[in-house]
Amino acid sequence: MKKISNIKYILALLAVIVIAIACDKVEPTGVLIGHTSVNDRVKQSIVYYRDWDKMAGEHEVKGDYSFLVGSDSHLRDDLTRLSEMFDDQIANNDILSAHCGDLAETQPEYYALVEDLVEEYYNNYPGKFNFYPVVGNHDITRNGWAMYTKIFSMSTYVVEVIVVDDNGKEVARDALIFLDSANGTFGDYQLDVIDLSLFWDLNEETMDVISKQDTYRHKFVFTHTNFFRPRKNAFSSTLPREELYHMFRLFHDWHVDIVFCGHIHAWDDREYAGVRYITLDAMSADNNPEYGELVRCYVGDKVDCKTVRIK
Amino acid sequence: MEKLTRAFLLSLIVVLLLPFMASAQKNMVWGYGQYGTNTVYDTYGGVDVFYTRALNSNVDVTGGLDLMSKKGGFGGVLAEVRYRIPVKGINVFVSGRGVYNYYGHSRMNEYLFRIALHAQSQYFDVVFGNSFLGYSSFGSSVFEPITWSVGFAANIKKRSSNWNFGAFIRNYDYFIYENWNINFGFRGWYDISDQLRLTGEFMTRPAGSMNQLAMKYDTSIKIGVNYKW
Repeated sequence: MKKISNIKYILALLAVIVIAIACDKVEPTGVLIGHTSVNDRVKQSIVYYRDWDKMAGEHEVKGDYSFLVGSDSHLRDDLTRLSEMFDDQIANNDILSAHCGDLAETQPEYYALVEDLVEEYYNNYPGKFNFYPVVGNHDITRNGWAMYTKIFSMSTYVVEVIVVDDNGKEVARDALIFLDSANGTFGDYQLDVIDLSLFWDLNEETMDVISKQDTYRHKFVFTHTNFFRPRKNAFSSTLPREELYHMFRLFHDWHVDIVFCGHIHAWDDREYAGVRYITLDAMSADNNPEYGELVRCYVGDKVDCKTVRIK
Repeated sequence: MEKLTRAFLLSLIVVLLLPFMASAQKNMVWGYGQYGTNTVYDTYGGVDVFYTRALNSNVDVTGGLDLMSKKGGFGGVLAEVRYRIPVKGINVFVSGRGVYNYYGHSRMNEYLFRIALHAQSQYFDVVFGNSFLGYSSFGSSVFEPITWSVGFAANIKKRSSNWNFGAFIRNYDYFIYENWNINFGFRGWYDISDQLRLTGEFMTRPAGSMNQLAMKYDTSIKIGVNYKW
């Protein structure tokens, strides 16, 4: 009798393992071990960022401007939601689209389709179309980081918006900060690099290190993992407690205007410690068949953000 | 929220004083030194000390203190009341636990109350509970009514053995209560005498879980002693 009882438990365990392996969305070993390290990804991103043609990451605008934000498109063969987002950006003259991760759904072949689409828009709308994503957890499964970097190169970087007057003189400068939290942590290297690298520059004449932090009028952060739980019982990992609290302090000290994130597939908009946190719902058709929800922000001396629905 | 915090701290102090008020059958002082590395704090170390007083054969109360050398300082106090229900050779504990933590680096106050069931057999421990957790900093606060505590541990020998070794997986530690981020590792003990026990634990805390693809967040060791009388 006892042997039969043990077999029952073994069969139950095997059933759980089989279901876990059979599921496309879950990496069974990912419960305990990551396939790519955020530290490695950030190191790679920073190398690209340093070599990046800075003009590609700078946008000069006259007066007020707007940008569009989406998250969790989880694309498969059908890229409609992403192309609708791009069309909306072009139609509204937004200077760029930002994406908070989980661009495609855990399979490398879907990234090949994303690459074609992004390339098509860059070719069709030169100077008007700009797309800046960060990686999400689904983007780094099944060799996804290799596919992601082939298209976008990096996931830790800063895009600057330089506001000029009619004479072309700079009157303000804003920072859009893209951070990698795909593993559910920013990692120690990125935490160091945020302060040491992204916000500091070297005066090549005097060789003095200069802080650029206070030169920005507005700061916006884009990352994947959510900081708050819109649903009380949400089944989605958040940042470890100490890191969550640390990031609250960091964003407070930086005087960040808005932190955009996704991951949890639920909408949340709240202020904490003087910083607004917008958690975007998934724009994917699988999660929200009726419409995808984006956020458009109008930036002047003040910032105003509104939700945008795409079919 | 301030009134709630004050009421919470006051009730925590009352429970902390309970071990010193009650008469006892069997009492225990226990603690450990902890050393580890962490994504936010780099290396850290410190001590946790606890005092448990048995009010009778089924009820005990515990007070605990945490002091860690994390950036800006980290400290916590813990108070717990447990009621033991013996069920067919298994001890089932129903417990209420209050914890207050201060994260100096983040200027964060964290307070929680956890109610939990802990089933303890000779070889296994299973814990399930829920924490009502709130945190506040820079004039803002958040209350999270659902933070489950889930834990499982197994030993290679009977609990009554004078030495043991085992593994555990859980989403909490005495002074840390996560959502879905887990802790796992090994633990063991050796009884020097009937009263004195040496304990050890190796714990790793990956960040992320499920398809988040976990990576190292914190690794630590704990070496401690339990003294019973």
